[in-house]
Amino acid sequence: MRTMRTLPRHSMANRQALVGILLYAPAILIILAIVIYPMVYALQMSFTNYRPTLAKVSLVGFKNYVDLFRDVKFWQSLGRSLVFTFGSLFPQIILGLAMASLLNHPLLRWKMLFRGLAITPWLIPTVAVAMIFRWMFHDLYGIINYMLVDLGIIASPKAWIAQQGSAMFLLIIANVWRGTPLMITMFLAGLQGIPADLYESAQVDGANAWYRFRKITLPLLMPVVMVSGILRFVWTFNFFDLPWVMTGGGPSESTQTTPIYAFRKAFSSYRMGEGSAITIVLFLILVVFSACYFRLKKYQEKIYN
Amino acid sequence: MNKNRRKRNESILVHSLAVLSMVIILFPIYWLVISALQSPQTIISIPPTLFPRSFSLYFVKKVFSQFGIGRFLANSVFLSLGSTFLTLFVACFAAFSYTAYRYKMKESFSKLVLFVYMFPQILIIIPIYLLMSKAGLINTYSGLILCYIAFELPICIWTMQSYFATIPKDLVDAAEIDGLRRLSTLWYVFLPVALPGLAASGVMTFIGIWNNFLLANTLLIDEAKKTLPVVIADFASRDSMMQGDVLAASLVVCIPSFFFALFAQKYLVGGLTSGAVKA
Repeated sequence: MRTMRTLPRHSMANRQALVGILLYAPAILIILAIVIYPMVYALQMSFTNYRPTLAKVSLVGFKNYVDLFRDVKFWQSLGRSLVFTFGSLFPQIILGLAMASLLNHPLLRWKMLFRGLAITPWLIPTVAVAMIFRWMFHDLYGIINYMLVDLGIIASPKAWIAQQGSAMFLLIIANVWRGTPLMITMFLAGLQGIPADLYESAQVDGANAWYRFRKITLPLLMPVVMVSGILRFVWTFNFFDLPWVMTGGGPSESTQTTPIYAFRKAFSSYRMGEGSAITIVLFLILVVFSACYFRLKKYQEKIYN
Repeated sequence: MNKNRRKRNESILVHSLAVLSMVIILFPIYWLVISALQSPQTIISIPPTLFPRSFSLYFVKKVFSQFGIGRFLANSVFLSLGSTFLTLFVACFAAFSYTAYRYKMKESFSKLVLFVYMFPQILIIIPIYLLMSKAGLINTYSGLILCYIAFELPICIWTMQSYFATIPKDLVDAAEIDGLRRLSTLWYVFLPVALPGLAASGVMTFIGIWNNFLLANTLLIDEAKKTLPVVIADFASRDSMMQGDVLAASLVVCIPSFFFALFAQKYLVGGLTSGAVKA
């Protein structure tokens, strides 16, 4: 009797599970085809001498990796990626924290307007960002050169994009401008989770703004900062579009980050095998950071729920 | 008294800081608009004028008539709208499946989606180029759209999921008792409540695809098929192009950004944060 009654319910649950899986299936299939399978294919390719010009593809074992680790250009590109990433990330986090606190200030009116305006740079296409900053820092007609000369910061207009150190600096400035709004938005969302009476009681106790920021905002916002920081680290480290469009890796390779080096290897020198090896190394770095990300996210969920 | 005055001073300080930071944040956009709307003579005035009195549509007209920007604009609009629609379609079913059904694999699916959210496109650009060539999908919009869907799915699924999660279970149960099949509740119960979520995911996806450079630049070969960002990057590398041309084209590619900044603020904030903090 009992089994007869549970049996239909059981098969009903199975049926529901099947429908559930089928509904999710298109998304999973597309992801498997476009992201996971190509990644496996890249791994396979990284052990070959794959070049479109070569008649026969043959396995070369770890040769590409060994060559890569002996390749000065690869290490240089990694160094530049780190400079670009940390150079972009620290200002983004600090400005993001400052702006989020400002835009969350209890006395500030028209909050929605200010918050809306602060997101705008993130909406501008990367290609346009590159063009805007190239134009603003143009050696002859750039507005920034005039402002800096007027303020007495530099003696004469500078060709920012054409010099090795300043090209990277320019790239970082553009990336900070573009990326900070995302930080502001994430931090603002985090700030809204902090109860207002915490601040009120601190204010009653006579704590000043800086003290309140240090003792209440920062510790409670830390999980959000860490999660956004790791996410942005991964994205910035692998950011191809801005350096490619803005400087093309130049002048004389001074902004050639690892993603650009990989792309060049594959599509300018047609060394697909070697290019793939670089992307696999980038992938391994990603795996380490995404492990941290998943851990932190779990921790963050515990706190917020 | 004293307290009130201190409060007023603080308020003045906060507002001035907010206005000042907005001026700095928005200046590059202002400068793009101002510069793109100059004539060939005034754009290279020395020193540059912060508040020019005269404006000209010379460069905007020129990029349309001489460089045929209109065609690339149309390509971009078609690709972005089409892929956004398809992404939303696939994402809705996935998010609905996650919220309304119980099965073991659900968490693994969700983890895979989260992983793709972090995944940078540069890592698969070499194999995807070769695989698309093998499959005959290189230089086709179908191939490119498939890639767009894959990379935009995570943010869409999350945003929809976070809106679906707000729907009370009683509402769903009541609908089922009234004779609706579970699958039909997606259309009659979930989607109507989650319309703002749909708008938020739609806006986020559209922007992501509209701005995309790497995939479009690598997978499209025919000049006539290229998208606006790809063509602008090409422009900048040509010696014959004038600064004004590049800036006018950049202004055109920013039009959706301005539109969303003005009219879709609230969806943007919702979309950005649901993927980042809540999910």
